[in-house]
Amino acid sequence: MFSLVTDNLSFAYKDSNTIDNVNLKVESGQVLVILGPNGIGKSTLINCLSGVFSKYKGSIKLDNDELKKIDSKKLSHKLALVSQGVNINTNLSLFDYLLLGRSSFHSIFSQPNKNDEILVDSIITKIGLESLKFTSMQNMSGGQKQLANIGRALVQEPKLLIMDEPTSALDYKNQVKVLKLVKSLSKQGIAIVMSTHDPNQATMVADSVGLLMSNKTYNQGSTNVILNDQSLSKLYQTPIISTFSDDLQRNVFGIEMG
Amino acid sequence: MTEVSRFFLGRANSATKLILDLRFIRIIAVILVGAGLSMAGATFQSVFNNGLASPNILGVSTGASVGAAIAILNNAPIYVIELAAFIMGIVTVVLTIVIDSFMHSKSSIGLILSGIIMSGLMQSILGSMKYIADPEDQLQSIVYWEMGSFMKVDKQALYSVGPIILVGIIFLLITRWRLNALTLDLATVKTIGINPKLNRNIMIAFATLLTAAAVCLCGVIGWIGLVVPHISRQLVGDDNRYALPMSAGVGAVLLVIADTLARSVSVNDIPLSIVTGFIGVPIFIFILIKGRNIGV
Repeated sequence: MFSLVTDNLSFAYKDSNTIDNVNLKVESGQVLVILGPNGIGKSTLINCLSGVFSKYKGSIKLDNDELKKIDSKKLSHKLALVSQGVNINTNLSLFDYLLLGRSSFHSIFSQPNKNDEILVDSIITKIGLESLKFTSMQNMSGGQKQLANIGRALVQEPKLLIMDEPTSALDYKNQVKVLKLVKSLSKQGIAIVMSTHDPNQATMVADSVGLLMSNKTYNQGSTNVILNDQSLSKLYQTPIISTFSDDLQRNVFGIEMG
Repeated sequence: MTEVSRFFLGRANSATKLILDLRFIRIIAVILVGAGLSMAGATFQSVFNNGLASPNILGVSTGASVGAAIAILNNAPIYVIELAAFIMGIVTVVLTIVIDSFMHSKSSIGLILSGIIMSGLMQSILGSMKYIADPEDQLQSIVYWEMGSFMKVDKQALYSVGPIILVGIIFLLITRWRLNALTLDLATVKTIGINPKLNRNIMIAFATLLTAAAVCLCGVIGWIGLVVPHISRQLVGDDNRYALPMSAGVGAVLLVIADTLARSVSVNDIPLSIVTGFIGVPIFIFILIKGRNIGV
């Protein structure tokens, strides 16, 4: 059983957001959704958890190993980051982009081999972009870029996926595609941490939800317990109302315009 | 033709041998420089993920010109001019990197800006040297050097600089797949298990070495390092596993053609940058009109 556990995780940087005493936990096969308003430090938290920011205080344990002490090569075999897909700005084809997920399996002097290419092909099938295998990343839509981004992370064969607002720039159809993929990956035993603005997505995929509050506290609990009108209204500092949908068999959250 | 075959069999008479020897040395130098500058350009374009990057982006060529000009003003022999160019080229890039390190910039933009700053400074120094140079011979030498020529390349120069270019070419060829990863954003590069700064600096170091060596052999040759990578990517796509070797090939062929023209258009050799400019500009316009995304 693989696990990611933080103990009083804090981070401060002169021109980025700060997070304070975050205690979170996620295990193999679970989806943890981080909710919070703009600018509260969701991306900072994601960057700490994925090893991009290493000057954090407190601890981040991956299977009992302290994250910043893990060699970056080994770390890339344990966790993979899915940053926001719109940021992909390379001219490489989808296939060549995904192949880069194998970089840390080779030295600077070697090239990817046949097995790497077979793996990439199978993951292109998994994310459903077979017809775009040789298309330049520049010519892809936001949704396709995001799926490609997840694909590149999967090529690393990680035990933990960390996703920074994977649905933020996507329309409904592509949101559903990404969320379904998230759900199926967790069923295959991958631990997933994803940040989002939308509590409705949390009710769709999350096993547990973490709220990054504006007073810098962090609360984590199971989705049904922690997501309610009061907690969300407080989180976003605007009235939010939920109704149970019989068709969807889950709570649906809406914004009250006043 | 028979004289040529005798040359290769080592049986040519001394006059033929001398001419063919010179031609042979010149063509080897042209091939090495054409391949080297094009690979350096392709490397810089990948590292900065910017299609407008050329081998001079960090100021190496302008710095080398200053080095050469200092030596020319002191009436130094040719090998001192070459050495001074090489050293000043490297020094300029080191200064560019030092300025960038003070900027604390998170992307490559800081390095590009530092390159512009250092190039500007070196241009001014070069300008003042041209101003004080003796217009009879020194000024002419500096200007000629600034526009590139293989006319003065001899055996000794090729034997001392050629191996450096060859090492640069071989290193970049072996490590070319890593260049693909460096076109991604910093956070992603880090989490796929690569040290972005270290890898970037290694690539920059070898591309700089290549450029400095090329410039010290034959002066500054424009356009090749900028245009050839684009032609190559048109032919084989953006994967550097194919684009980099293709750049080497296209660069070598194009510069051989340019040098042949430079030798044969008039009685005297005309400076190479004039020829590469006339060839490079239309090709670059064609690529831009075809709507290729050059990453800017």
